[in-house]
Amino acid sequence: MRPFLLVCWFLATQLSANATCNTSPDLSASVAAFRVQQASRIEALLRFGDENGLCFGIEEVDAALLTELADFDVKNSTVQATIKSILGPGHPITTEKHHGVIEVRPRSRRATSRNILDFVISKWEANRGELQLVSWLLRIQLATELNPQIKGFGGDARAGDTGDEVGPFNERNVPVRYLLDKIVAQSRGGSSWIVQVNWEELHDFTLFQNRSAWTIVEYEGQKANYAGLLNGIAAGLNQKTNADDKHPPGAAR
Amino acid sequence: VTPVLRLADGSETSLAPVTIQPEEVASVDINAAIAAAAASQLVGTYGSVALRFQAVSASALYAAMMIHNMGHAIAFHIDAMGESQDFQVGSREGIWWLPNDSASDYLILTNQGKNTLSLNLSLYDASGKQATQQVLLGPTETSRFSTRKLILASGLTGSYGGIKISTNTNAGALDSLHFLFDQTPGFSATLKMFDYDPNATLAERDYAHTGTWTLRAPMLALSTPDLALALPPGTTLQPQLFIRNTTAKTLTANLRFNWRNTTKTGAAPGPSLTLNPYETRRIDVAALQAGGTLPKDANWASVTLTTNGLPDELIAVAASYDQTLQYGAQTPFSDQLSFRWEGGMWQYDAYHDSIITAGNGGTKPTQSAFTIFYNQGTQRYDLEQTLQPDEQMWIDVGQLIREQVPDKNGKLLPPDLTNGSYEFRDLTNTGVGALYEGKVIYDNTYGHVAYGCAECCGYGETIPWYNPIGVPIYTAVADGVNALSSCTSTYDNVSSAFYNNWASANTAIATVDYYGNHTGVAQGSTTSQTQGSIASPKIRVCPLLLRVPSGGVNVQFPVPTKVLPVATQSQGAIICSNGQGWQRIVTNQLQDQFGRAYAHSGILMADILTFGSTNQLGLVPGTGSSPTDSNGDWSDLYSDCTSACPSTGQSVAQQTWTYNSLPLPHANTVVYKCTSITIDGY
Repeated sequence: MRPFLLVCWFLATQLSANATCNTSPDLSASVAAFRVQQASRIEALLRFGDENGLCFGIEEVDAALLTELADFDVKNSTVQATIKSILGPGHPITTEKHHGVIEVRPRSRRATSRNILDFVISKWEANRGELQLVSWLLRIQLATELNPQIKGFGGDARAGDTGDEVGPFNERNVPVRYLLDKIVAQSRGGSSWIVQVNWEELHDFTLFQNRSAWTIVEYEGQKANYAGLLNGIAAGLNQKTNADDKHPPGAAR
Repeated sequence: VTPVLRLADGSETSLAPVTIQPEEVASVDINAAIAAAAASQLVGTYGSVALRFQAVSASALYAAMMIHNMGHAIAFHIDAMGESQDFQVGSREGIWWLPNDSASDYLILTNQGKNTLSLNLSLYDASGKQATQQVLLGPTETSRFSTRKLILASGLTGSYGGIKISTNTNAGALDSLHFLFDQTPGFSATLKMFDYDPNATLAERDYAHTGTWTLRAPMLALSTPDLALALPPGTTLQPQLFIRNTTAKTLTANLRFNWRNTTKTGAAPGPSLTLNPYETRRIDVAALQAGGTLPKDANWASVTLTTNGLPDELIAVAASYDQTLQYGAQTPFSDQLSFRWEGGMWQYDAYHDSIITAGNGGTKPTQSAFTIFYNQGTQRYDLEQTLQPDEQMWIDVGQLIREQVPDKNGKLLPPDLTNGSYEFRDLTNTGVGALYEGKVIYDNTYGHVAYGCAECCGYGETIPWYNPIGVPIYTAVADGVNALSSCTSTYDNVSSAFYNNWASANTAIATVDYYGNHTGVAQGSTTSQTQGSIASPKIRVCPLLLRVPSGGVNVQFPVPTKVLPVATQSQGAIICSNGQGWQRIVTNQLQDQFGRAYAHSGILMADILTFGSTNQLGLVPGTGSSPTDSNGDWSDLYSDCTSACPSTGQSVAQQTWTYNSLPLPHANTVVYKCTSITIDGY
């Protein structure tokens, strides 16, 4: 009996360490226990996804979700209920599954007009490469379609896990959110995309000619320190963008 | 370098200038140069040579006169020596030797300066009996004397004794040369003369820190000649030393030998001597060999002479000739130890070969590096050896070429190589150095061996590594001392010569330890200094002179100051829908004002890129943010992608940073190209 238990524990550990997104997540699957102390709600959601092979697309965040710390202790629940429990009653949500990614949207926002994540990229090709590089290529593709006069981009961005390669991609007429879903779904250790602008800005397409609407967080297991990254997103939410100064020449308004 | 020939009256004739590349040896054939200059007034006369040159330092040029009359046995090698402006009262000290009744000799005095020298020329017999005459030497004039004639005229007797040429002003302008020749057997010898500076201290010249002034002769040929010298079989040399007390007080001298033959080396004590005032003593080394003090089959010995006197109060000359005086060799005595010796020309051809040596004159093992330069100084051949105290590195240049011996890098010398220059470096000791050196070039047709000397290197300016040194509070930062080498005009790290002397002017702000580690105690500014004696480039010697480098100390709390890439993780070409470009992932590091990692995790690093007027790739900026890890590092992805690629164009951006929304004072310059991205030049 003892050898069998040891083998099971080993396999479970291995699966967890190499967690990738479940290509067909079951929101009704049972969750025996999930416990995190002194973490923000978004960090707790990322750790829940990391432990259970779930990738998320998080469409709205605010400073409280990103920075306010709490303890989370969920027992004998489901995936769906655990997600709602983590985000709390103050943030009612709906969930949808696309390309193996659980998209989390605020329930109250559903009826509003389309945002940048709904923007349809007419044609996007990317070679296989580091996840963050591919994310950057999608970002500049979006900016180029928003302003075809832009010749090129130069910049720097967080490199993330440089061994985490995704792609290649050859997509036609796909909304940004689904392209993000496809990227994170291929992450070798699992990941989630998170918007990094506030809800109102998400609808101002002109902002995204030189600013990224999202960031992708790669799961890093128990040792992960997501707080620094999430604090950075929260800080960005508080910085009011001077859109007039940021518009490249010839940009469509 | 413009060679200038001066007649005895000081009148000058310039020869054609030569340009000498670094580490190159250039030869000027004086006869040919005189003919080319149509200077018939120089033919059949004598005088001195001056070399006028422009170089990064006065020590950059080494020169020697090699007087050969091809087809005759006689040869002299005479090292050039410059005028020393800071040597005023003193003398030139020498030993005269008349080995037979027919040898001729010349004592040549040259005034290198612009003032007339008033000289006392004194000769002594072996017991110290003195005869003196006055000599006036006008500016740039040369006079020559026969000591044989002077001795006869003065009533002195014997076959050897002393020479003193003294003056009370401009002693550093006097150069002298004393040599012997006898055309019948084909004999020639140089009797080295020494500067005596009554102000010289033992501390300046005690290079090995033994508390005793020490002279060494590195290559005394012993009774049984080295086969490498190609002397006729059966030749027996008569090695001897002449040791002279140049003062009016009694001095003691102790001799010891380190001998070698083809298979073995060893040490042997020599006699102890008490020398009366101005006495000259002859030591028969051949008799020491015959008596068993030194092995009979030993070929060479380095001779070490210690004394209770001050520098140059005792002088010595060595000579090893056979009974006919036709075959022989000499080795010069010198007290100089150095961290670096720059040598002149060695020769290896059908008629000549060269043996070069360096020995450890210190009290601890040292690593010695020897380099041969050839092909106009563009090629080098390197050997290294660990030397125990008194041990020598022994290099037969002809053997290296002939037997194609690889150097430490596996390199071989060209089989047709005939000459070049050389250098020794002490890799263990900095600032002072423990190496002495010697070189002989022998003529294997006539059996004549001539020695040459290398030039010691010294240090000019000494400065702290940092001035001011920035010290984080409660943290230690190493400081040290760099010194400007007179030979290379580069700064060397000589910190070890300054250990145990560091001091802080205000220990309430910063403390300094034995090695120069500064530790911040309280925020503020102070100064620190240290002291040490290191080799200094005087014209004629490299004495140990005290240096006191000092600098400012600023103690501050570390604050984030700049971002620098510390590693490249990957880079390569990328393709995007509207073109192509480059991506480079680096490890960026947040650093403090001291250039150290600001090692705190979770600091949010954000940047703004601003492209300026150079934007040939038509880039618009796109940036992100990232938190630091516990090392102050984060991985950053720099990239460009544009329809302007491929091209040779570039776009330059200023990258300003914030840490946790606070601005950093340093902005990076990022250069984006189609095939590279650099950050601050990295």
